[in-house]
Amino acid sequence: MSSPSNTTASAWSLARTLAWSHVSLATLTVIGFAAAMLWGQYRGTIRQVESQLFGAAEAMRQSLETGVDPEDLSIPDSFFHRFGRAPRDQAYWVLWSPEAAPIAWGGRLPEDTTVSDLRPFPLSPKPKRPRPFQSERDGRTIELMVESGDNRLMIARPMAKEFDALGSLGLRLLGGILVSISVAALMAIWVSNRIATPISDLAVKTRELTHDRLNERLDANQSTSEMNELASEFNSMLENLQRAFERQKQFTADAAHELRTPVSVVLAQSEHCLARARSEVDYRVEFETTRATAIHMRQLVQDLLDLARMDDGRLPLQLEPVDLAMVGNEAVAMMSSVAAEKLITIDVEASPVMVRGDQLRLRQIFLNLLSNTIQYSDRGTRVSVAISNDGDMATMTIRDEGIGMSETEQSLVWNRFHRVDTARTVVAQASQGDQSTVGTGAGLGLSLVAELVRLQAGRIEMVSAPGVGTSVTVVFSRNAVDPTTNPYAVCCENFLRASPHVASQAAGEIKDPVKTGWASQVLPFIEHPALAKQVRLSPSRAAAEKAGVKPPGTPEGFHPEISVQGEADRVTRSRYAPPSVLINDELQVMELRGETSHYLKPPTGQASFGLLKIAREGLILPLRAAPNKAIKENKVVRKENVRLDLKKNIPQAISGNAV
Amino acid sequence: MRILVVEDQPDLQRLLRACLEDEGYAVDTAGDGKEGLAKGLVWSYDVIVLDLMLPKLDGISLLERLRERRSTPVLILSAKDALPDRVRGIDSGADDYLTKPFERAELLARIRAIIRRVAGQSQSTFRSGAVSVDLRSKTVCVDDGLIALTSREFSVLEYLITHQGRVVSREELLDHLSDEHDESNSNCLEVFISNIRRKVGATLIETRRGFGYVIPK
Repeated sequence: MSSPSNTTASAWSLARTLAWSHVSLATLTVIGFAAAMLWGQYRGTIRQVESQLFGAAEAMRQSLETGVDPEDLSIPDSFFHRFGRAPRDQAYWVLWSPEAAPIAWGGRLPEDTTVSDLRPFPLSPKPKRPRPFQSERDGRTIELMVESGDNRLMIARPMAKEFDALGSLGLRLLGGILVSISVAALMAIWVSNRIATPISDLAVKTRELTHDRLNERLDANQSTSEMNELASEFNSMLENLQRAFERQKQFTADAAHELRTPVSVVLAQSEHCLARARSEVDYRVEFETTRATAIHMRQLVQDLLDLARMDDGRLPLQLEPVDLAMVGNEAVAMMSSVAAEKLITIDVEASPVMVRGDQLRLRQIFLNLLSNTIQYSDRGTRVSVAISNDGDMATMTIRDEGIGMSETEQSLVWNRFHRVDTARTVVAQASQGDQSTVGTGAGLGLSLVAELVRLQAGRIEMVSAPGVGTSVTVVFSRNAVDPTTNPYAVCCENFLRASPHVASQAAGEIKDPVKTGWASQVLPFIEHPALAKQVRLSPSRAAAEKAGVKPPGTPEGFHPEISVQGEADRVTRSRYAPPSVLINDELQVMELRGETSHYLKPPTGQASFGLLKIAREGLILPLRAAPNKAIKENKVVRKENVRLDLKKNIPQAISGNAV
Repeated sequence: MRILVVEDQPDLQRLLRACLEDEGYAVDTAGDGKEGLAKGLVWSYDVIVLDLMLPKLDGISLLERLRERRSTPVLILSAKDALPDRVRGIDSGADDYLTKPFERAELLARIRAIIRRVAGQSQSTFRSGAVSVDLRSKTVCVDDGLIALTSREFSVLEYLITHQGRVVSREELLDHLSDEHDESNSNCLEVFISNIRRKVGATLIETRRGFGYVIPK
């Protein structure tokens, strides 16, 4: 089995591992079993020899008790034969007096041993087992001792034939072990191959799969159900990959195709002009065509880029509360010249409604839908735009009296590069350099709209009938709060929800929503009791009073001279925003939010906004490093668990995000 | 030589017309498939330059319907560059396939090649006696001496010499020399012929009374 080239040399193949583990298990089992058997056999043999010796000893003791002279004592014949006639099996015996002096002995003493060499072994007062004798083993010889009156009789014999039997049993067991291990090894190899081969086949097949062979599938009839499952999962993954890949290929082909026509125009135009000398008018025409074509291409490239970014999830959206009506009015104003060329009237009926969205992208949605509508409307018809607040939903409807679409057509219009007609009819844009956000005519506009609406948690509804007209409704949820936004934004969202009528009034007054930020868009007009109280008790006002500065206006209620908007901002920020500072790229503090006194401590001397000058000591280094890193790497930098040495404060963790 | 350009992109259509007219071809244009098919069936063009993605009737269908009645040479000029598209285009009856973006010189060379092939020639220089006509450089030589012809005179000579040995009627000649907007009357033809005879030599073009003109092989 070939091991994959990318595995390390030390890694074992699955089959090898499986086979080895099988073989080692089998070996352990067989050897353990054989050892237990041999041991059991050995113990049994000893028991048997002991009982034979005891029988003989008992017979001899009885003879002694019946008065036989110890000198005439001998091992009874029946036992003599049972022990074995071979000299190396024959037993011997010694009778000792209580003083351990040999009284009599007999049988075949071991070689080079005289009776004086033999000593009775001391009797243990507590024998291991309740037996009428005690025994000891010395090498192959087993010695057994019984008491006969005060004398002690020992009978012993070497276990030669028993050990022979045990040895031959051991040999046979060894043979059996070898045979069974060999058989086990063969089976282990077979089984592990059976398990591992499909996996390695899978690996080989996977390695062979390249982007141009994605149509291949694995065999779903594998040897095990797990492998079947794996193969079918793998196949479905391939299926998805192939589909995505083909979509991507189609998209690239379409994109290239769309870019070819404008490139052809530019190429043909310049070559035609260069073929011979031309008049100034001709050159002017050439440049105008080239410019218009370049504008078309720029839009196409931008759309393609947007779509690609959205596919990757990398399209940055600046979600903020936006008045849909305002965006709609802007878009209508931008499209009015295009509509006027076709004598199309656009009626707008818009009531202010706040949604969370990206203002530019919302405008793009409007512009693309409007341009599409105008493109497919006849001259002199009407287009109506309605923006309304429908409970929790904000709806935006564009209705036309255009050519309309069949149901199949309706399902296709959101596809990329789809066009109602197969041809490529570019909207005349030659003199509309500023209108570059207008639909491209490449069939990307509506798919962009679909993606953008989806990204901003909205949905699209379309009603259309051929010859009657089309109505497209985009619905955004007004409650959609992205949990990734900061709590500060959430708080403003809550305010919006608490007093929608106030909010929508407020929306009409917003001058520059991007610049003024969240709270200032909404809060100036909120007459929330809690907030009003906060404004009155705001620290700066208290400080002003303390400092002896007479606050203008009456002490109760609102003071027109105080910048209510600024106060409301500040209160909201200090209450709801986490302690944070907004800095510019020179690390100068632009804005303080929340309770920052734990982290910042203005030093005595000249006042400074430099973050590094006013930050507490332990924070200076991380605060210098983090923004630099953020600027250099263009991503969010986090620094946590910075310990601060404050006199009273428990050291806290500070986390900061810098972009 | 008369060429029909079927192209829906207005800029490209204008450019193709300008390029081809610069080369002395009479050019008709059509902005969609139906118009293109109608013109292709009515007139006998020397070459049709055909885009594939057209409104109303796509290029392939146009070609298939044209081929039922006419064998006009067709050059497909399309942004579709995939192999299946090219194969399908040629198999549907096109004589050549050029993908966008194209080079002007290549387009003109391919058109010349198609005209040459239809005339059954393998070179772009045609000879008849002492006269040689180079379609590539648009020059006429008599005994190695360069003759200056106007572009209309050259067009007449070009058409006659590419159809060398065949009697070309006055109507056919006029059809192939003027585009749909041309209002010059048929007397001009006599003027061109007599000018050519004066410049190149009276024996080159023969008049067959009641039939037309011919440059004999």
